[in-house]
Amino acid sequence: MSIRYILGAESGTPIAQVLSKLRSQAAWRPFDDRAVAFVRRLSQKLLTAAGIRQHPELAALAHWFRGANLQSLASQYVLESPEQVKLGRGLAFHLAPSNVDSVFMYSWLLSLLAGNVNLVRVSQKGSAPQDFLVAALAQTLAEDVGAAVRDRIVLLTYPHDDLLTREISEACLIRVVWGGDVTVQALRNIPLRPTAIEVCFPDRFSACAIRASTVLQAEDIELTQLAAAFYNDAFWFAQQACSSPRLVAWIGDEADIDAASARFWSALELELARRKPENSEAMNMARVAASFEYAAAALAHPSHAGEFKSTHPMRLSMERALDETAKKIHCGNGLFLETRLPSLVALAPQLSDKEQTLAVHGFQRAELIELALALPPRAVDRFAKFGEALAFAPVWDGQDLITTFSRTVLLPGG
Amino acid sequence: MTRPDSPPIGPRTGPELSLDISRPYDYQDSVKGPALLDAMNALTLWHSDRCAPYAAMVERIFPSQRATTLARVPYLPIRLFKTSELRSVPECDVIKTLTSSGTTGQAVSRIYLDRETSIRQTRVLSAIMAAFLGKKRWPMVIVDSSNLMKDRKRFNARAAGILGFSTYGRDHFYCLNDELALDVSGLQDWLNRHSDTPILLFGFTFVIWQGLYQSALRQGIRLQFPKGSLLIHGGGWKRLLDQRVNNDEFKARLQEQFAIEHVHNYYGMVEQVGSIFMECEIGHLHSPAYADVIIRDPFTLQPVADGVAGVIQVLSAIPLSYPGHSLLTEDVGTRHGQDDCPCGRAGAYFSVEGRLPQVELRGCSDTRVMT
Repeated sequence: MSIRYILGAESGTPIAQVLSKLRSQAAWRPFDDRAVAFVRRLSQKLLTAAGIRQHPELAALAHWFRGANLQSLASQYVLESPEQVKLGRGLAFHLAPSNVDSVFMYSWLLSLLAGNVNLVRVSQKGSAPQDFLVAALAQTLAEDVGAAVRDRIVLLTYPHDDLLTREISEACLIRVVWGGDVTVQALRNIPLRPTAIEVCFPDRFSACAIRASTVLQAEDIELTQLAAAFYNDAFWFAQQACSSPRLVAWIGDEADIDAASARFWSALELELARRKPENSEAMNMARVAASFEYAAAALAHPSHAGEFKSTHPMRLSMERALDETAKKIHCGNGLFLETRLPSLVALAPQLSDKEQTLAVHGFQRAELIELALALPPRAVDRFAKFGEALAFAPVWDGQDLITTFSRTVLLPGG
Repeated sequence: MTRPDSPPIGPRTGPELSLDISRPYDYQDSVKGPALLDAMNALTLWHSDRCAPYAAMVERIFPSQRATTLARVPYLPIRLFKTSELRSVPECDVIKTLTSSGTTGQAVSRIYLDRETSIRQTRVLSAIMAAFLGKKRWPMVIVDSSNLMKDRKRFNARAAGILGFSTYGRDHFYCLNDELALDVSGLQDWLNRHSDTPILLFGFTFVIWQGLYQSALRQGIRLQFPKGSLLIHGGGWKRLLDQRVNNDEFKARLQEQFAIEHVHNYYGMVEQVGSIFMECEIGHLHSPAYADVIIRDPFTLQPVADGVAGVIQVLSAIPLSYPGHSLLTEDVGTRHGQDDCPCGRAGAYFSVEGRLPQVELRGCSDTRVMT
């Protein structure tokens, strides 16, 4: 057997037995005290664990799931009314991306909070943050607070195996897929129970928009803050999170944009010099190769005129509207496509269902609504302030995860 | 600047290096440098006129017209052959498409060869081989399975390499079976028939290590190749370095197990077949007249001084059917000097240290669950 159980089942247990045990567990109501107590304890455990500083993304995760936040999250939902009661759906099957990403961990902890029983398939590769998280999970499960959820979490890994994925898929009532478009497509071919639902988090592309005049009017201190906020959005996770901005849309007239972009990128230079983001040879080569690909496709050219310079960040000026190819070539790693537009709403035709986050700076709410109404279907799931592009929200990719992960049972009225 | 989408019907003979092709290691930099620069500039124009994506790239990234030094010749990151179709001849002129032997799941390079480019590859390789072997053909052992050559649909770099090199030998014997284990009795029989003349052996570095050396070691076999036998191998060290086997160790073990007197590594790639960089008796890789290397800083991509490691750029005056005359590889190497190697060969000499690590993918969704 190729399955390796990481938590929740003895090595060698047949998967059918594991599934049958998980399916025999009742779904809980969302924010059941037992689930909340467990998640809160896990959060404490992570925050106080030795070595957490090496995993800032896990610290952010733990902070997000702290008790106070769980309370305020729970208060946003009507869990019971005279007409209805909310319940978890049952067994949720989560498929993680190859590299454990904190966003994925948010989703399955939310599934636990929503009242579900969870079977989580993590990557074969393993990683330091994954080991760190598993250790904290195991410790928390071993405590009293873990007793109630011990039979409701199984963590496992296995190599590519359609039959196994099929067997688990036939047993679950929710399948949550984090993966590239190819993975999502491959899994779509593996059927679910007729009553099951699927939630996919495929490849996404994110952008930001800046009003040039606001950059020109900004005090030095505001500009520094703006650069710091942009740094957090774009340089964390080497610009590879689905929310990391890759396109920078400058809004304004040409003269303003010339001056504003010069000012903005110099401020960012200072921020980079201060914070020294990761920049390996491989990341540089990836940026260079992508720049050449954009040039070969006549999509973009280096923003810096004259002799080619390999820099970090690398800035390219778009020559055409953003399209599928332009999004596909992008490799993250500190590469920015720049485009110039007279108004924010003019960005709408360049966006598609691929776009997730648009970080915005310098726009009125009315302009954002105007853009939202002009968007192609499903384009852009969220507008975020600069600096908050990577912040997790329980509404992700346009869906309220607690609501999606649970169901509403109607009552015969009061 | 607009360019036609399809290559124009131009002269059928492409730019050539103005040096005697049969003297790969005779030209000092004062002669070779200007000649190669002319050939490079002519090739940049040739491909710009015939390959629209290449022209678009040169126009945007290397806007200055004519390179004044070899270091200023426009280069192409080698991985572009994986992502773009780069062809400088009409599709009907392509006689062979080479693909890199990428590992499963990864994109492969596609290199389009026409007749002329293919002939040039053979000519240049022949001249290089003659410089090491002389004009006579040697009895030849190919350290691979003959099965590899049967599947012409999957004509990968390994098969192409074997086919290319096999013309420099005679009475070929493929010494590995289908499982890539040593066919001991077959090889012994063949050696008995060729006991009085030096043998040429060719194979890929890791195949030789696993299929010939380790296989013989496991079976407790020691074989005696005739005096003067010579092994040529290439294809990269990655898998051997993972097992902590370097070039010195590789040579020593092959000499010990098989008494193979001369072992020459070469550095070459499917993107520049023909103008390979052969290892000399001193252990240096040498640029033939038709090729050169430039080492660049992996961050700034500026050329670095001799003795400093960096990313290897390879130049070759061969490719006409695809824009591959100047390529930025993802290999790391060090140029040690030019024209003054104790082996007596002219040209730049260098060593290859390995590959740049690949970037780590770690987005929330840009990595694949199922692989």
